[in-house]
Amino acid sequence: MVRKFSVKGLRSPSLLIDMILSDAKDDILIVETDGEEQIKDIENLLKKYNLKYEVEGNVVKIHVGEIKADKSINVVGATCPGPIMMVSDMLSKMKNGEILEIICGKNALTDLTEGLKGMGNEIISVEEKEDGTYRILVKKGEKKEEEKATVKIDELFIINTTGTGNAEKAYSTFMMADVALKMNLKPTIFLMMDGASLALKGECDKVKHPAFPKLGDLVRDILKKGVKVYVCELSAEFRGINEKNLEDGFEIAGAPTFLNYLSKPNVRPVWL
Amino acid sequence: MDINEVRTYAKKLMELMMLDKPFVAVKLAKSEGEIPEGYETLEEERRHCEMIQLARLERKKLYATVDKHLCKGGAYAMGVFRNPPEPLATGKLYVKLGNFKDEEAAKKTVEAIPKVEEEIYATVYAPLDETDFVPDSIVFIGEPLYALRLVQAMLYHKGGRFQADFSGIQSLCADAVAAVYTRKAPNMTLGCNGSRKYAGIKPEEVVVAFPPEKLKDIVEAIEYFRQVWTCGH
Repeated sequence: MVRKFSVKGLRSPSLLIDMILSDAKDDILIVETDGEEQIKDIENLLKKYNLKYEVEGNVVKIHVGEIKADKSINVVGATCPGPIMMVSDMLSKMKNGEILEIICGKNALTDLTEGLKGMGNEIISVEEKEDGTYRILVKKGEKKEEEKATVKIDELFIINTTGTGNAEKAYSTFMMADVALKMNLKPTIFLMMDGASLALKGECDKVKHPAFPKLGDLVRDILKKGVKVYVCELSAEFRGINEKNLEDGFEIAGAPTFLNYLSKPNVRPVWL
Repeated sequence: MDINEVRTYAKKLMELMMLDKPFVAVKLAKSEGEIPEGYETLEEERRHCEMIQLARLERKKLYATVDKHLCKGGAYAMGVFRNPPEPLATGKLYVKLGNFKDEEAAKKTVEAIPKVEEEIYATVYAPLDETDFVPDSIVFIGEPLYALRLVQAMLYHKGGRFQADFSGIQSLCADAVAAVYTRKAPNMTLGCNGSRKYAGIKPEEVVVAFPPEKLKDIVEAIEYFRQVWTCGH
């Protein structure tokens, strides 16, 4: 069972969680906290019980036992948009709140987690298995209607479709991401169509304009700053690019990731 | 735990604690189909805390969809009322009502109030010993000595400490139902201005709520306490 609750305002959240844990068996507790002080209090308790947990912002996710999924699907080997289609089909037959276990390859990981979140589902956990596949647990939900309100644009989705064929646009892609960071706008880069050519290992190092540093250096700098660079799975496949010859730090993703970014109200797309 | 077990334990608990008023079973129904047959809805709007009292004092079995909830703050905490107006969502309403010095204090409190995220179709109420559903929360209203026994009973098997979590607003709704429903853990609360004024919670009464999973343990513990202590007056 997944229990999501808040302990905001409690002086000793660990007391409450201790009581909840005394009855928990195979559960995931998603605990919303006030912040650092409460998280520390909870962490001390969890360490005492040697429980697995993750902290994401102000949320502590506690794993108790082995959570049982209501249904399971294996999409290993399927390529974009296969995995999301198969999983969506399975979820459409499930009730809200039920848990689906998905076994997938690395190629579909981002698409599934991003795509399913965008559809209103909740990703409960993601773990890499010994055989290199991934196990995702997702709780079925539904997309809530957004309230009509002014939304602040705080992310840029930079889409490059020209790749090494247009050096100026290739430079702009990564330089714009750097400027966005300085302006507190979170940039994400998506390489598709000819843009995918930039994802071939070593290719960015071949692009150099006399007035600018080597493109490869800009790319490495941007990756070091935490910017995600996705490459369209089909565009990569078209050009013979795969996990083996993919530029370090780049991630293969597909239509669900792409569309999920485009559908976020706080994201502005930039086409290059 | 099935309905018959819940009823049996409820009767036994009332007997052991020598209570003349029942515990109240509250369910958050996600669809019309979850409302038991024969449960009535009220003709006029009432507050959630008033409906608890109808089940407790008049042994009524009833349900309320959003249009029957007079206190929108309570309905919002329990997931029945969606997209609340800004003064309710931000806490400004409670500044106006005199609960807080300023909006900042109100906001801090409102943000920490337990809330049900899922969309709830209706709240359903029955005296626990006659319930036709397995409740999401079991609500006790009574004197502190009985509340003490319940808390002691909840700690009897596994120990630990009991943490009561309340803020003086949205008591029987957020503290006694939403908190118990989301955490699957008990809570104690002292009522709010609404429940004290409109639902007739007496000055000498407090509120304890717990999930049905605790019922068996509580009965066993109180049964033992009866042998070693005096329960009640």
